[in-house]
Amino acid sequence: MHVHPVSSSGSPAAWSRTASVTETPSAILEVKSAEKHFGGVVALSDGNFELRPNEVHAIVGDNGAGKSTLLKLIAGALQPDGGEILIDGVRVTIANPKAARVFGIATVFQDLALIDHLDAGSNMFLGRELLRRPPLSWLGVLDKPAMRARAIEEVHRLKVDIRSVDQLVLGMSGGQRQAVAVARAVAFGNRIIVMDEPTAALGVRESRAVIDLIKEIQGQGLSVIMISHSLPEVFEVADRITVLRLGKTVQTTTRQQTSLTDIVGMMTGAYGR
Amino acid sequence: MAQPANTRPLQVSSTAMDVGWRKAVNLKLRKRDVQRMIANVSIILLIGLYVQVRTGLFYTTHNLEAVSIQIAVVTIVASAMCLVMIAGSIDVSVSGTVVLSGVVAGLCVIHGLSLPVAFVIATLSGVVVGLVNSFLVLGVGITSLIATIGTLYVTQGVANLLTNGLPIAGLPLSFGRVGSGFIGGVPIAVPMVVVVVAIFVAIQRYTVLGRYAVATGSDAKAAYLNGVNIRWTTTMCFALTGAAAGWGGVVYASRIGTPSPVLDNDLLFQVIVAIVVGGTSLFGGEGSVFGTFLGSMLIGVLNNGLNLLGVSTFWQYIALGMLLVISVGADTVLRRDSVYRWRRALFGGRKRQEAGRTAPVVQ
Repeated sequence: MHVHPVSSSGSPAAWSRTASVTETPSAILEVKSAEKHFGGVVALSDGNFELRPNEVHAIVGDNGAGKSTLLKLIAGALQPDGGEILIDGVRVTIANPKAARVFGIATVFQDLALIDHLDAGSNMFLGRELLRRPPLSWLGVLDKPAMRARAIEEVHRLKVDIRSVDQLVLGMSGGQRQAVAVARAVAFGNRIIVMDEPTAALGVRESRAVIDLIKEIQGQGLSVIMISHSLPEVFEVADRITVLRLGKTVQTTTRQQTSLTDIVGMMTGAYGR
Repeated sequence: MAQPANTRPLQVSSTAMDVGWRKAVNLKLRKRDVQRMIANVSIILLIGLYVQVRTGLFYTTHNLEAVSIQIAVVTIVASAMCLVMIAGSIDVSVSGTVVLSGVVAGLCVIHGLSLPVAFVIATLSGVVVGLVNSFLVLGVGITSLIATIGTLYVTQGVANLLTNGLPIAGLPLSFGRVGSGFIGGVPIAVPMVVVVVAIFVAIQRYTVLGRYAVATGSDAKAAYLNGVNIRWTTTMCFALTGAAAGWGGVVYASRIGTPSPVLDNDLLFQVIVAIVVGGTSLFGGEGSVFGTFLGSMLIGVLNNGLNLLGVSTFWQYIALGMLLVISVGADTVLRRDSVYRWRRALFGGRKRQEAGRTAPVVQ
């Protein structure tokens, strides 16, 4: 048996150097052995997940694997029954979607959570409206021109295909609705964008636009967590892939280290733990 | 969409969003809302014109004063209740609140309180009813229709208990000033209605509450997920409606002079008709306080016109019922695709504007 001299010495300097090497780049968001039950149903029993700065991280798995549950814990829409969530290494509680926003996490839910009867610009500012200056802000008076101008700015910056920010969401196509929801998530200083099945309801051309939008988001220095059933899309856009099966995280790999067959194998339980 | 397939799926339609005239045209007034408002205003004017030609009595100062006094209570209550309906709930307890608040105002004055204090207390009694409603809807989780039917009966019962079921007599003459008095030559009702409607139009169109009401009524879950406080929104809407119904009760009691605990069911239905004719959806998410104002004007003018023409009350009920059905029915039918095409064939109409608006692809 061969004993390595460094590990046997136990020098603090050596430890810290090893640590700094393995932890680069450090995680901005970590979920450790998260659990979630709904009555007797265990949706998530051992959810582990780690997000690095400026990466696109896909979560895949069969139906009922716990993908959406894991995502909702991160989005603050559900509270974990066990385990912990760390942001920048600090343990946090994400009490609700609004709290998630404070941590810089914005979510594009599968049903998009858009308000049909509000226009695109109003939807982008929903829940964080800009108000007029103090005497009027006490009465909750909206600063509509400012919001409209910023919405137009964001739409331009993201190059999304919305005809006008004044258009009601009610009359929009699936792709445009997706674009509004994504624009809302990406705008205003968020750094982690969570997307639940961003292309599930879209046609080929519109899916294409969303994939490009994800790349655009990454290009602007943000991190993206996405759930997808479409493995070709995952392989095109994701830097790393986490596979869930039956409520447990099977494995996280980089796109280069894995193959479509491997992923399908892990999803169905043919390989892996 | 008639867009050419191209290699760049992401486009920036810059011109469509930057042009100033579009902003001016938009004015946040949706086309259909505008159509409805124009329709309502024309019907109001046409009824007035017809009655004027037939009787010569409509466009007289005296008659217009009478109309404005008549519609004051309905307008005040409906302006606020419109918000509740935009937020996806309904409050049918308003007529009970009106009765309760009138009785409270009368009793306060009888017990020696000054008029302003009595009126404030009466209005606050309405706020209390509104808060109870929002507690039942949010805290207990009862559907707003059922919860407010409950409070409708309870408020009516309390009003009867407070007065032994009898009208309150012996109030000073000054009690009647708010409801039927004049200020600078016009009925106090006129500036009062203008101020109340202006307040609620402002709340609906220019404040966070108005926007959150739309969000809550359109899709409460989506609103919550976006950080909209739907409980605060619903509570505020019910409380404001309670306040408006409370103040409406003061005006109502003041106009009659002897606050009575007898429920006025007509009032409730006129409020609902005004809101619906004004274009507010019963399912929440869309509606306008200004449209509601026009709706209540329409009801007032219709009732007044039929009175002037000497039409019996029985026929007036039928007319009001038909107004509601025709107004909502016409809107529904005209929105159907088949009818839309038919209308375009007849009246020309504009082609889809989108084609003209689409900007060239920005490279």
